[in-house]
Amino acid sequence: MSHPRSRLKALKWPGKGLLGVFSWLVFIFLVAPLLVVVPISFSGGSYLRFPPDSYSVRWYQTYFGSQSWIDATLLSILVGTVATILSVVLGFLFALGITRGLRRWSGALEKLALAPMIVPSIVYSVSMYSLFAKLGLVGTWYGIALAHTVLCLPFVIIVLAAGLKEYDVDQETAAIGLGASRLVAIRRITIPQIRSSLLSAAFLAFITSFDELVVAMFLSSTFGTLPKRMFDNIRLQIDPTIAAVSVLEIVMIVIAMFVLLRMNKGEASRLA
Amino acid sequence: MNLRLQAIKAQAGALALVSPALALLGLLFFYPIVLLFFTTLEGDNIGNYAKVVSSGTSMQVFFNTLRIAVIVTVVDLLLAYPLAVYISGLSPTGKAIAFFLVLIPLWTSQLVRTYAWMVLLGRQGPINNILVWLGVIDAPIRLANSEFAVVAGMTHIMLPYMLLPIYNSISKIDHSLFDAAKGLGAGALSTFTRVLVPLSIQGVLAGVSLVLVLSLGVFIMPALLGGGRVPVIALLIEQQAGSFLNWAMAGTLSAVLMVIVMITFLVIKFLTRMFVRGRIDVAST
Repeated sequence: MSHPRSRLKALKWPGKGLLGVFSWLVFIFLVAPLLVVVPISFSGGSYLRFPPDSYSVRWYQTYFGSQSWIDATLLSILVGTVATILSVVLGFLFALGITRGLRRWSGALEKLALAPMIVPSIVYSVSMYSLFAKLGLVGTWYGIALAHTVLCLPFVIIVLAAGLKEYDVDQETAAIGLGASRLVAIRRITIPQIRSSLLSAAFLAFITSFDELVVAMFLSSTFGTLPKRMFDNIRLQIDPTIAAVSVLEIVMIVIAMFVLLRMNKGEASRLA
Repeated sequence: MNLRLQAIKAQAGALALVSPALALLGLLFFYPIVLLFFTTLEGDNIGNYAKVVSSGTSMQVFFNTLRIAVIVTVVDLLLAYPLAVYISGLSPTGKAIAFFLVLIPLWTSQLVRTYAWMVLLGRQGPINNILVWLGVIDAPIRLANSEFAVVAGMTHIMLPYMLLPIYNSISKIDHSLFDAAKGLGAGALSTFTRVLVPLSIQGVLAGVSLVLVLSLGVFIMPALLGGGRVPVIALLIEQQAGSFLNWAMAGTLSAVLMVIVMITFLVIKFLTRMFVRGRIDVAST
């Protein structure tokens, strides 16, 4: 059995210690910028000084006390939830289809479904605005949710197709052989076994929508989602409310990550 | 029961499963993009292409976007490759921690990360403080609102996209190959250049492709960290549409950006195929 540690040990080159030092510097580069916002969010003053002169929780109070921040957050949760449900349902059916049949076409179909990943969001926004302007869907929350569903779909399909390829279809076939209908077999045998993939897919879909700025900016008229509110706040007034919002988002992500890591039995690489 | 009939039924079932997602993509993704392309070719709009090509400013912006994307890609490759090698040599626990550190920034909102960089590079931010404290500079200097800030922030945002495909391809390499190379008398350098690099080149190209393509369309970082000094295509498109309400010009610029992205994507795909073939040739001789 190959021991993971021995994997690159054969590469006994003199710079091994140096590689470790370099790698930890890169890790610091990845994480440190996020930690910088924590002290700022507890700042007592209203301008950007690091470290702050005094500390308070006033920016958290500002966030929770502001109707416009709360409205923007609720709107983003609504749009994100609808986009997540739609993309997970459609993506699950799609992933079932390409892993169960269509052998010659499944590769091409999967590539086709991943196309939204490489189209720049500004190009997609301009295209969708032109279409939605004709349909009268600009300025509706469900218009944004539909556009977000398209953007979430590739992530859902990648995660679920990988999960379904690992899953042994014979179990489902056995259940059908024992008299279950296919629908029952999928619901009671397949879905419970790929539950962690489904949760990862839903999580990725939700944050894709919840963080999306450009499409939401083009398709909303007067109201704004949370990213739009954050963008305006950074561009126009830049007070530490944005730092408080940032810290709340980071805490949410860390909690979600712990839950998903536990579900995936500690195998973090499966989430990537 | 007729086996062929059963097979056809299974295919029809699979087709029924994929069709809702395909319908959505067709109606709300491929159709609007194709529509955009056709609109730019209609009537007076076609003249916009000539305007884009003949205008020094917009060509400058395209060139600038490409240059920034290439810088970010090269820096990320130099950071990600050694890191991927390091992570693949870690214990399972070490790997879990490493992934945690990579995925947390990847999953954090881009606006949060952009704001973090504004704090970091601010006049009274930590970097300026440290530089003053070290005596490198006498007074805080302008770090934010510059191309440097945009490149630094983009490098941070894109790093996981470079790292994950490279890590994937390195972790798939059979470690006994390294022993074999050593047994055959290869030193560390030739093991690196003749075993590790050729076997991970697909991951490298996948990472390069992803980072280049994403960097070409980047909007948030130049808008917020560039302070109006870093013109990129996405900003130009937003300006045409949002400020000038010139949707025809925004459409033409979008179409040109889309073509540049497609060409980049296809060139790297072609390169990947060349490398795969080249490797087979080396192995057979």
